[in-house]
Amino acid sequence: MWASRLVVTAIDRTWLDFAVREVTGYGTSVIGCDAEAGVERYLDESQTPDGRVGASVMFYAFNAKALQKSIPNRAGQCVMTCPTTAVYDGMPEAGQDPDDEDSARLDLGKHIRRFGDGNQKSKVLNGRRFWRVPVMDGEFVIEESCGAVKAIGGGNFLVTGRGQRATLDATRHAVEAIAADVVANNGSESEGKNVVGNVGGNVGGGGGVVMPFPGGVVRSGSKVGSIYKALFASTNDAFCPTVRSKTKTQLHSGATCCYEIVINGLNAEAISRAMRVGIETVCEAGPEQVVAVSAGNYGGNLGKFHFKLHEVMGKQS
Amino acid sequence: MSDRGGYILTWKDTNKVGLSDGTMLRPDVLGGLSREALGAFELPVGRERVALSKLFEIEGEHGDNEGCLTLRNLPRLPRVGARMASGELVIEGDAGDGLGASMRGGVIRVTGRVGDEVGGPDFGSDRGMVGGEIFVAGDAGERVGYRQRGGLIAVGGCAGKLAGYRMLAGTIVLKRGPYECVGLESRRGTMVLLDADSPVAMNATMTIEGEFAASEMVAVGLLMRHLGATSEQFVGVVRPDTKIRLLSLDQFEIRKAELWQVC
Repeated sequence: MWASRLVVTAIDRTWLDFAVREVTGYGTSVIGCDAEAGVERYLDESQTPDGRVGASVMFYAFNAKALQKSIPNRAGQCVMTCPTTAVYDGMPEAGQDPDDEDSARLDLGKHIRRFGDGNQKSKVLNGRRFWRVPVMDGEFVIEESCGAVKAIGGGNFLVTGRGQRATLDATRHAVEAIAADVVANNGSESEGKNVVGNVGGNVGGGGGVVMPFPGGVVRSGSKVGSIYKALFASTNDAFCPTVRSKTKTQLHSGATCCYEIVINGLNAEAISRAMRVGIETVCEAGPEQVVAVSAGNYGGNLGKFHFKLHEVMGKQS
Repeated sequence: MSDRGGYILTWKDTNKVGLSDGTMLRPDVLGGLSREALGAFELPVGRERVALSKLFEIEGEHGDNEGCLTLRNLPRLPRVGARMASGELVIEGDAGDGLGASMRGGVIRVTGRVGDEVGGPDFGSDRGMVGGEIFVAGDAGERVGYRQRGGLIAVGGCAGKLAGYRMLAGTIVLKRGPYECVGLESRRGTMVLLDADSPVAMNATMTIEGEFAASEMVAVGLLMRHLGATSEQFVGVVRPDTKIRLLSLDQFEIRKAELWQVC
């Protein structure tokens, strides 16, 4: 997987939320979406390039080309249309070296600027070009390009528990704990530094994570393959409680519901850390709510990276 | 005193000769040289060439931040950092005319004052600086950014008249007025005038587009944030509720040059 990070800003949190909701919309799984998208963290006024509230948003796709197709579309249709917003590159260091095969530079505002119909202007600050496109509430500012790096998608674990409410609450707590950990772990390092140069470089410094599914939680976990030739993924029936007897179920007795948390991150350490924080939080719920924690291992057939839960939990940093 | 690293060149007071050109005093030429090579580097003095070590005290070690060069105690030397392409040039004290002429990239910081035509055209060029950034803490002479084609010039003190004369693109920020004949015959680019007490004199080529709060112009926030992070002089000068008058300069009817006046 390849990842890219944008910093979206707006006049206040309300309009930021509208923009973020749009730009990360229809971005759950690359099985059907152009990219997997989620909020990494929110940023206060001191952490954004223009001194307004913002959010760092990450996008994941199979390769840089797919991101290149997806990101300008999302920026143009979802962010530019939203009042007062601006979009910046959240990975300014990525893709600067043409020999580096693990990172790339994508066009962000390079074509969107033409919406200005000749009235667009640009400003270059600290070697970064920002386009100013006149719109009806003033100017839409969008950076010319954004970085993309090789990253990891699909780190996951499954929470099985006693009933929907109990399992869902425990799972959601885990999502919240992971999101809080991303913020706590990465602090506000960019404060006081040259912000145009550093924002993004330090946002999510050690490598944040996003959980692209609704509320961070998936209920339709999938397995590889299907009885239908045309489909390459289908429901993870081993964890579906209503077809227990008809499949090789992996649900423990007493478990009647299962949710999955999918975590995309910039590197294996970030994903492991998020998984550990998540699993620890799930376990706090206790056996009345949660029966077992597992993971989709797909027979080890899916992806290059495997996060083995015992190793993840053993790894204290 | 300097914790930036890189070589520090201090002009010797005992020099009886006048260096005629500062073009070669830039980090992308000198920063990568060994100490011996730096000392032997020849600079033009009148019709002669003199080794750098005879004119400057050299401090610093080779390999310690090659991208940075500090100059101290310079005489009023013209065209320091001309055609510079990368790195950071720090001038502790004043500099002469044509600082950063036809500069292409990198950053020049001056703690003192500078002469005329900062970021103007170098010999043999009809364009001023095309990229990079120049920060002048003190006053600047006339025609700041003459024929500037890109990049950023920020002056913390006052600037002489005709700033942005014949500017083609880029950004000029002038913290203090008065603003005399700014942006004359400019074609594109942005002049940012931060002194609310010195309103720019309108002329026939100027059109007022409107007045906006700084928070409504994202590019203002972006620029001021960048300036503030680079130089304390620009911290807090523009607040979110500061009113900014946006003017277009209508040279040759292309109406693409603009002027931001804090008011």
